[in-house]
Amino acid sequence: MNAPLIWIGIPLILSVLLWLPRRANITALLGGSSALIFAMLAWFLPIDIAIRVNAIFSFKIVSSIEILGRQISITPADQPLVALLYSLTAIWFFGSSAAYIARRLVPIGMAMLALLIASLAVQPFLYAALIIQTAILIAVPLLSPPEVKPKRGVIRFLIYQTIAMPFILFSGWLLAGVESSPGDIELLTQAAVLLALGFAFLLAIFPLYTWIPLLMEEASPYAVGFILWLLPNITFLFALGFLDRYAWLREYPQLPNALRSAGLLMVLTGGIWSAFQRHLGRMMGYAAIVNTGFSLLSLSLLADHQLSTFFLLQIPQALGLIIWSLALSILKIHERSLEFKKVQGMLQRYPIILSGLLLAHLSAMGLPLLAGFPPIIALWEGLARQNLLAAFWVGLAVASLLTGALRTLAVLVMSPKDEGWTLNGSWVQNTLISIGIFFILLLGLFPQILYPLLANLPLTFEHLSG
Amino acid sequence: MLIIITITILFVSALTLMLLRVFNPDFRYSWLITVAGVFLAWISIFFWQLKIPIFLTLPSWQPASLFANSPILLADKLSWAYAFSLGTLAIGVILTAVARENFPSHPAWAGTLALSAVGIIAVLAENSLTLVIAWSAIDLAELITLLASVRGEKLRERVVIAFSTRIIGSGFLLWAGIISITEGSSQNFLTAPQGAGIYMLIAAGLRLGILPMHMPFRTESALRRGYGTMLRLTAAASSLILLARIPQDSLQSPLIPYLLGLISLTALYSAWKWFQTKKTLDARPFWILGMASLAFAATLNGNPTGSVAWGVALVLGGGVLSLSSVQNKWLSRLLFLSLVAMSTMPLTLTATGWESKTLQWGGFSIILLPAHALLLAGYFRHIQAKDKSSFKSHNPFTSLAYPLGISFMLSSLLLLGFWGWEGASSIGVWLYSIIILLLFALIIWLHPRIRGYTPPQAHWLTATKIPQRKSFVYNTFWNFYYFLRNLSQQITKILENEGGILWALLFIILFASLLAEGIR
Repeated sequence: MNAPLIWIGIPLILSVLLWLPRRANITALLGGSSALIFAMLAWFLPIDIAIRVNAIFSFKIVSSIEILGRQISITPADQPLVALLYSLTAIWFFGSSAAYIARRLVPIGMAMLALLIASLAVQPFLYAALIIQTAILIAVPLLSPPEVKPKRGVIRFLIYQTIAMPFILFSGWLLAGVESSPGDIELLTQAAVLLALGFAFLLAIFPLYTWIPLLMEEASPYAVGFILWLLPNITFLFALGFLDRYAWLREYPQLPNALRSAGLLMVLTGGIWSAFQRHLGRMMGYAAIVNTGFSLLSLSLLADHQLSTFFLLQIPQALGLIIWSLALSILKIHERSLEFKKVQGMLQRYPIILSGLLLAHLSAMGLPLLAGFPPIIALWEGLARQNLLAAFWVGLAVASLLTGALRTLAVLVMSPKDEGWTLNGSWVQNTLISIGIFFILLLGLFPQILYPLLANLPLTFEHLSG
Repeated sequence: MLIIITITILFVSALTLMLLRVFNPDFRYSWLITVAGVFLAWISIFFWQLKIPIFLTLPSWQPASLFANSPILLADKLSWAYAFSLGTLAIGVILTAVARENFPSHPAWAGTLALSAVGIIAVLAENSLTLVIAWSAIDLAELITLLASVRGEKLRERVVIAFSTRIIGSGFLLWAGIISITEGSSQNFLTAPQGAGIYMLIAAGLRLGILPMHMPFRTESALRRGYGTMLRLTAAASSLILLARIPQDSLQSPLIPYLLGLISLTALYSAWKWFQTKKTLDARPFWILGMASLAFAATLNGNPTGSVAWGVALVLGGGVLSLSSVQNKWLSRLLFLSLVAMSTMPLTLTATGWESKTLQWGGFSIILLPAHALLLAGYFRHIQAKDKSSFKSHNPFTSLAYPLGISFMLSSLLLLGFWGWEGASSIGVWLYSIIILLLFALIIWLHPRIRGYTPPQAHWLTATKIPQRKSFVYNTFWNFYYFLRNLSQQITKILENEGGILWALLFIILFASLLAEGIR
């Protein structure tokens, strides 16, 4: 038995089998349960240590496997990360039946996750770019069903993500040269610029994020939410792999400034643009852009905080996206549109579902009491210690995001006709959102409950974990 | 430990009520359980006096390397007064609930208990982190309550605006914390640096509606007296505590005299409106604004004790008046005792109100003293108001519990004049109290004699009229908003249209060339 087979091979096979159930809730249940099992295995099962079952029988899970001369390895240090990715995916899968997208999201999502974990585990790591590209191609049927003609958002998503690949591959080729002649500044600069461009496309840095709001209008919000959670996170982990591997890159004097500038650009443009949207889906898209900006800013604090802030952001952001996109999906299914003029006064008809939406939005901007607040305040303080002006810009971005949230609130409560309060949506939908609200509040008050989960995550990147 | 006991009693009682409502809706002793819970909590607040100051560090946020501050509560001689007044208010609300038309109302009682617990947490906050969390809890509770109770598009819009203003206020407090951190201090109130004080003032001002003066949600009739009173006054107390926590050293700004001027005018205007408005519940926002302005002025005069005095008078004085809905000769007479407590005379609750520990120009007293006199005169008028029911329409049990609730509040008002907190047993500026009493007597004497005293209400500040009277600031704000919106829409159109990819690539090439130049 070996680790890549458990967390990459079996999920890939499972992703094919998950197409078989005809009922969506069975698919969601099977997918969610299996993802949860993979998460628990990653948490509890030791790698490279003999496990004694009884007096006669013992076995060992080997960390590596070789395929066509390439090595895929999942080490004990990677296990918390794999556990986190699978457990969050399990939540996405459990929620998918309530969003009526389980039959597409669960099999495709499982395959994507397995591939993306493979991209983090492959050696030489340059092959990761190709595996990520495969995962992106697999995502297309999730965003645009085969019977529907692909629209602008999907095409643009594919174009931008595909353009990233040659940049990464070129930079990898140059990096090999940098390793052999580290004093070559010209080569170093070229490698850094190409790498930055590659990641700019992958992470959808301004102005390369236009596919996000377009997709939010065209596709199922839940499916897009899943993509907006999974792809940027894996890309960040991939980027951290680069930083961990190359000392010259992580010690590059301009790196914190570049990350800070890119992060500020993302939070500011995302925040300001979200303030003026009249479509609930697009609003979430811009909030996801702000999330990426926050992650970039957290990496700009590597010297002070190492990876603590980055990992602290992950669970609240994921939880927020799950609840937000689920609420949007339910609303879109019932009301057909997410335009402001169509959803006016809907809070009285969907009190729980839309409360979830609003709280997820407020959590994304770091309202105290909600899950997003502790990591954002930690980030804000860290940034202020380095540069007060940067902290001011973050404050402005948060205020813009708040404007969007308040506009949404105003639209949702201003019913043209004074209707009574009713509870629409199925009990599963309302229950799932209620559970989500509970966790948003719980993590806002007690962020320390995440600490045992997050404490070992930075160990995956031994040179960055301080 | 003592703080935990009080807060646990309140939360457990609230939870018990909700569980009873779900599993045994016919349970007959819910009110008694509520009274027992709130009374025990109130008694437990007295026991804090044995150990004051009490620090309570809640489970610290992890990882500790990221969170220099964690939620901490501090019960000292200042915050105790607020906590005590909120506990007393909760008792008043529950005991007078027997006279309400919605009796019994489990959700309202549970809400009252939970709100008093959150309010106590807010007033005990030792740092800005704890305070903003408690503020948010109160803001969300208020938002939910108001949205559930008001009807009509316009009123709901005002609810959202009120919520927005409060959140912006919280944002300013967070920014004050950020300023503290950049200056090498923590978010602890005691160590706030000079630059942070002004942001704390703005935060409190915005939340109280003083800076700039605004009344986002004026009509409160939709809210019931009991829970509505608790909600309004808890929100006010939780903001007022910040005024007592701002260190004097951090208030060294050249803007302070201007702020004091602005606040004096706000105090005078709101006191005038409080005096004029006929219905007590409609006038309550003016009471809060007026008394909060006096508390604000005390802070600017370097007198945190005075600020607490005004704040506690706002809560207890305003509370007892708001809860008085039953006409009774003796109770009305007793209510005049609260006027004594708020008169700034020696050995009363507000005795320290006019003290000043700065070299600030005292000229603003010319505005502030009449404002106070008007607030007292208005209070006098509202006590005499006839829009109350009588005991005849209630059962005998009501005639026992209801006066008890009112008496609890009145005796607490008087008790704080000489015991329990920093401002107790003070002589104060007795000359000012004499002037105020003279002014008060003059206003009361003139009131029936001058018709101009009671003109039809000037409505320039009402919620419904604001759209017709767009001010310069209002227009400028919206013009700027529309400008930004149009700009963002144009850029979005360019980037999302067919040629968007080319534009994006052009941008990226420009960035790349800039980046490469920067690296070289």
